[in-house]
Amino acid sequence: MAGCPESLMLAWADDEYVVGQQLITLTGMYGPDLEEAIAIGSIGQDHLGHALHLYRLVCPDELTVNRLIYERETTAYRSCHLCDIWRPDDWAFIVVRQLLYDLADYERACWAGRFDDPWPGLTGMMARETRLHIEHWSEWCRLLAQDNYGHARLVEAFNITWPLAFDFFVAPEQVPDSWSACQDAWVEVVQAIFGAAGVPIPEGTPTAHIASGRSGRHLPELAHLLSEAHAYHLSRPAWQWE
Amino acid sequence: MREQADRYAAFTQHIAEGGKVDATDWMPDEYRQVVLKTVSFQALAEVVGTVVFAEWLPQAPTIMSKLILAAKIQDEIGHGHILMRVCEDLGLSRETIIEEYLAGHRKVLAFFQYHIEDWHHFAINCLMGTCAALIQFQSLSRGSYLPYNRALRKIMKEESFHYHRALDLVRTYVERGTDEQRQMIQEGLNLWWYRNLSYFGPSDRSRPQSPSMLWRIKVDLNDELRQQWLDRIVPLLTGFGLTIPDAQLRRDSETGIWLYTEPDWNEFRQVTVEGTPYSITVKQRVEQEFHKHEWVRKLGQPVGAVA
Amino acid sequence: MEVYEVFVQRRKDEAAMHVGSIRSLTAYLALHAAKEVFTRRDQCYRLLVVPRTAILATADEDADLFSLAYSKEYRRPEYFIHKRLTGSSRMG
Repeated sequence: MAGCPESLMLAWADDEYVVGQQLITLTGMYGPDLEEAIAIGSIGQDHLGHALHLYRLVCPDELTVNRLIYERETTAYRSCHLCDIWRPDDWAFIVVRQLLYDLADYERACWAGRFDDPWPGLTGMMARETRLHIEHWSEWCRLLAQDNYGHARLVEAFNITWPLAFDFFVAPEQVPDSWSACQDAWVEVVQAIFGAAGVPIPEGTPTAHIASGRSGRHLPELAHLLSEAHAYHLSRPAWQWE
Repeated sequence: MREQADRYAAFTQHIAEGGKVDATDWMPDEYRQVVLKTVSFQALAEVVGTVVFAEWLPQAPTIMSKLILAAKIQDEIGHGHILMRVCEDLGLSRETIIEEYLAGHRKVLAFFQYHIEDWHHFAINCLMGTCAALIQFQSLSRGSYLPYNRALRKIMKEESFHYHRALDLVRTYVERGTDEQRQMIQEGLNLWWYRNLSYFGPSDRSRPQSPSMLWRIKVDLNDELRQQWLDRIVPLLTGFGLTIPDAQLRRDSETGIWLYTEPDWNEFRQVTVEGTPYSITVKQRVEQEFHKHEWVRKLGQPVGAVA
Repeated sequence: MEVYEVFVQRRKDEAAMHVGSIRSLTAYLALHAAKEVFTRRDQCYRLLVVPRTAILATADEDADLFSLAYSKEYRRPEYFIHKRLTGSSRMG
């Protein structure tokens, strides 16, 4: 995207890579049900697919893309805390985290539409796929909210993820001021969706993270995810993979 | 009673003449049970097999290979799903199948109970395995029970993607990989050859016809399918310069039949019934996954039989 | 939990065809699941899901009532060829 700061594209790619990596590992699991395992499979592939498009924009070739992914230290990743955190055993957590993230990602994709796409419709395509994810997770949110146990789990998951979500909007360097409007738009829609689900939303904005994921300070879950994902590749340098 | 006997006789005649049966047709309970036994065995194997393959998902060595493997895993769980639906339409729920498996009352084909130790082993095993699966499903899809045939046709379309992907990987590693990578492919072949050879089951040529053959759920003998597999896979593997770990393997020039060293059928039977230390950990993982989300499956709707 | 029958219309100029069924807690999740189960590797113009309980179907035993054999020969395309060739209004 001509004019889009590279720092934002990298942070965006890292967000999508981390979330995609987390979700695809759920595909092989029985999950709430087999139909959902199949649905999550596609959602996870969408995220990874977005990551791949974005990494390709900041790298000269495919080899560099894979080196960028596999050879970076955790502290060089620019994913936000909302993406770092991962509690796969808790279905309500997955629903809430995905919904908060996809709502924010949607604002980002719409905002990025102001830049020139490297090929027609890139940001538009990502926005549309994210829109479908939002519909999926909203439906789950609505369903859980109708059940006493489900509702209690939603509230608990929200209380954990809400403060972390603001790390998404910490601006990487060189990002224009117009970026800050994304957070306001996101807060409004989160209030609408979770309000309708009867989830209480704390007043005010949590204090800014000094140790932001955008500066490479991550939750411990990320180091664990990346080391498991990259160890095999790293122990076999210069092997031919594709 | 008389009418029941007539219906049974007419149904048997219909099957013998190559007739087909759909989910809503009248069928003797015997037939229904044989269909369920065959289909639920495969449905469970797909679910268990998915867990085995999915171990490699976090570790896939490039982002593209992660995406492609994720699509394959999604297909495999989809195969489990579509076969579970065939069972459910005959009154056997997926939950019952899983619970019986967790309680140790169900067998899983030995092939799906071994750990895949390396990415290259995965590639060569997939090549042999998807080739075997395609041959087996092609045969089964000519059986008498239509919903199973339809499910198998969808499954085969997806398996052929997996076959081409496995072929692509093996070719890449053999032709453009490092020496170590070629060694890993050969090592994978050494480890997985007999497990794939035994995929079709022991010879059933001289045994009395099984219920699944009598009711034409199964239409070809195990040995016949194994021969078809050898026809395909041997030239493929030797074409890559790989050595098949069986010095006795050869094709009889007169009969055209492949002669080979028999796999260890005792191990096959034992593993199918009892599992391996590895497959026990797989079962534990399935158990955790299945139970921890049970509250989600029970949301909202009143408890009742699924149609 | 309900069973939903799934119909796929591959192209705009084709009819929707039955492809199978899925199980779901809500209609909306059924539509999403059906999309992934049945169309993720195929081109598709439109997808429909219907609760199985909403479908009425004829009984298999009544399949012969669809037959044109008795008294409605005039609905068969070969009726008019037969009439011209034989001069008779009756078939069979």
